[in-house]
Amino acid sequence: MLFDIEKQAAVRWHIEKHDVCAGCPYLGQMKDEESFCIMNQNPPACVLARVARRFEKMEAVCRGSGPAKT
Amino acid sequence: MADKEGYSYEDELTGSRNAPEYKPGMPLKDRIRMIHRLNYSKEEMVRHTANKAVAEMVDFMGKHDICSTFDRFARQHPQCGYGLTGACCAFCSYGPCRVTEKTPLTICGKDVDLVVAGNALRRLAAGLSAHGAHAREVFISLKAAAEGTAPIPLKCREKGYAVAKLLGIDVEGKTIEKICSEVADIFIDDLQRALPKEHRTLKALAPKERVETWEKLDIIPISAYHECFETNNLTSHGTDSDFESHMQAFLRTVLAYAVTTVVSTSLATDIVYGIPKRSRIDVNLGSIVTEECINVGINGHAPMVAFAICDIVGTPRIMEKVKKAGAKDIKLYGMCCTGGEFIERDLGIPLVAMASSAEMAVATGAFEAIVVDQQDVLPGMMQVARQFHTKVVTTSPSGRKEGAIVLELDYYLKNLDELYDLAEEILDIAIGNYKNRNPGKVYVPKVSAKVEMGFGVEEVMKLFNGSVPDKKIHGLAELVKSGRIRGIVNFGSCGNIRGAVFERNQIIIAKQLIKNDVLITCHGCSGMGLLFAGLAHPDASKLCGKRLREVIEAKDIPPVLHVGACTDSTRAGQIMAYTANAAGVPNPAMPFAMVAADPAAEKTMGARYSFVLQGIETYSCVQDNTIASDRFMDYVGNRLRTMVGAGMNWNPDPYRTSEDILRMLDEKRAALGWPVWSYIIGAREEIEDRIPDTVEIGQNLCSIGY
Repeated sequence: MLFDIEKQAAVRWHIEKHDVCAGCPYLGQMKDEESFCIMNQNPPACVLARVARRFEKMEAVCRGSGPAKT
Repeated sequence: MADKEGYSYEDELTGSRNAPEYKPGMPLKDRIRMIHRLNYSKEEMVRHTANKAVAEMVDFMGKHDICSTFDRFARQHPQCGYGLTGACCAFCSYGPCRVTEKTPLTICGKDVDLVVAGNALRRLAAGLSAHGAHAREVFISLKAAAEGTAPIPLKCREKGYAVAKLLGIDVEGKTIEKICSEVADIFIDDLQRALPKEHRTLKALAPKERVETWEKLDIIPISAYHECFETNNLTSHGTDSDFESHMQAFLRTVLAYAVTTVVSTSLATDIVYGIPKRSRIDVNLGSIVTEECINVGINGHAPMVAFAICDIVGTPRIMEKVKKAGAKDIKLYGMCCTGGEFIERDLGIPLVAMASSAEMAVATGAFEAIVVDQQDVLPGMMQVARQFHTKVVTTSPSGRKEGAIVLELDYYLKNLDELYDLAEEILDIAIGNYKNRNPGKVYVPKVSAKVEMGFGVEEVMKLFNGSVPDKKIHGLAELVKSGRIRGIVNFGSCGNIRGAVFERNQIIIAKQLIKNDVLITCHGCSGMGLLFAGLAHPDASKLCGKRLREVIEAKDIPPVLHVGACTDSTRAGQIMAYTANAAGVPNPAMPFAMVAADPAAEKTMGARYSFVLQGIETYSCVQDNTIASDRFMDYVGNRLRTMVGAGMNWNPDPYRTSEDILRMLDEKRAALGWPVWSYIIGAREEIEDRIPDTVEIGQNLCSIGY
């Protein structure tokens, strides 16, 4: 009932969790609910992740773990 | 008693504790009598405080001749009646002048209204300076972290971006460091400007409806520094003698306080030191570890050195030194607002005391070092520390203590890059002092409470379906509108022992409110009282009304959401404003209130009036030393309500205060057409727990120092 009230009020900005969301302070993860973003961002194009250099960190991990390019 | 001709303070000691109500036009001696009647003895404090750890420590300190705040308080009786009511002007060397019915003017010609307004204004300016100094340090750390001039990390870059967007900074193509540096520039400019210019922080962060109201009243500040400068100028010898002009300056200074030194400070602290994170921890003196553990207390407000200590305390290098000193562990403990900042951020640092009880923590004899900076570090702590092996280290040039070790940030900020060396040096002192601990002198009361912390605005948004870009918390608004939650009340400010039993009033009020379905947010030292009383744990749901209980059990949250330190009233203000936004109703019409039960420090004057200017009714049990002037009392209690939509309320009885709040919330709900249901004040046993009528002040005092 309570949750109904909330969902009638406004729809959550549900997202498909992305690597850049790891540790993000604005990532919402409530029990029995899909992940959501309280900054209303689409993770692959998230502005916050870009300025906070989360994409760079992700690329660094990929570069470090992937096969060496010749 | 009433038929006696002369007034004697001793007469009041057997008087009724049901204080007479303030009535305009009453003689000054009756006002003094009324305030005197509200004091409590040390024994009553011990018997009736909700904080049993403090009660045990006060008793312990009395038995061992260690002087506490309670002893010094009792020795001050009777306090000066003119000072208590605000009828004394001591600004210039003509004075001090008291203003009474027989002598209605000071030597320079000020009447009682002007004297009271002047005193209030100076006190407000002192509070603004205190929070302003805190703000300055946070802004310096933000700027230094962003520009890399000090080894301070930016722990929440995302918040830096969010704040920049709120401030209207163009973020395109800029690095996060550049963005944060620009945020710091705006905050610093609004803190220190001498010439009039648009107040960017205020315009960007305050609700539009509020800004328009403040503009109509012509109370937009130039900057915090300037308002502080101007209030002192205006009240100086022979300058301003217009009550209205005094009050206009008062409101302008409150706004400078609210926006620059509270809102900006809280946001900047989050960017540099991270946003709150939900966690559970034990609080109060019982969480002190005494076995083979080096204990370091951190007390004050300034974050730079405190967080640097926190960053390095568990590192292998420090732990090696700890082992060499013969201990197994080293632990930090928070006190006062630095403690509030720590527990919000899930750092595993328990909170053991608020400002007035910090010296009781020292008297446990379990601390190797107490690191202090500025504000609310009572000088009496030094006397207590001298009786133990505890070393006091001061880290701020603004807050030195006679007899303490000085290891501080340079006044001209020359040693910012040595922050971590300073932190290590401080820990070395504590580690080296461990060998001097006398286990026979260690006494720690086994009183602690489990609490759930970390309810920053982001966490509340996640819980209640909020959106940062929209500045709305939809879920909370719906719960208030539909009648699951009667209203939201914020608890803040200090703890006082004048006119109140230590840590009692706010707990009674909070219990009455949650019983009647009111959701509570709290911060600062007053909020700590609610933590120590165990109200900030989900188990406190059993104390809640049926409707609120359903909400908090569904969400698995406590009925009292702790939002942080004193400057974090910002978060409470944001939660309220965003809920009002989502409901589509302005702040003054919403069922919101602020409770500053026992205000003490000068800062709390600004804190309370900040909420009033936001349109939120504010309630206190301790009077502000302004009761001599009917005009001042009328201005803050009635006229402000017509100007900004809210006023200041004073009632020494916490039960009556609770009733006043609930009545006001229901009136606002009814006006909005939202459901209203009956409330109940005080179970029978709670009413019987009221302080009895007899008073015995001055018994069983310590002899040290007298």
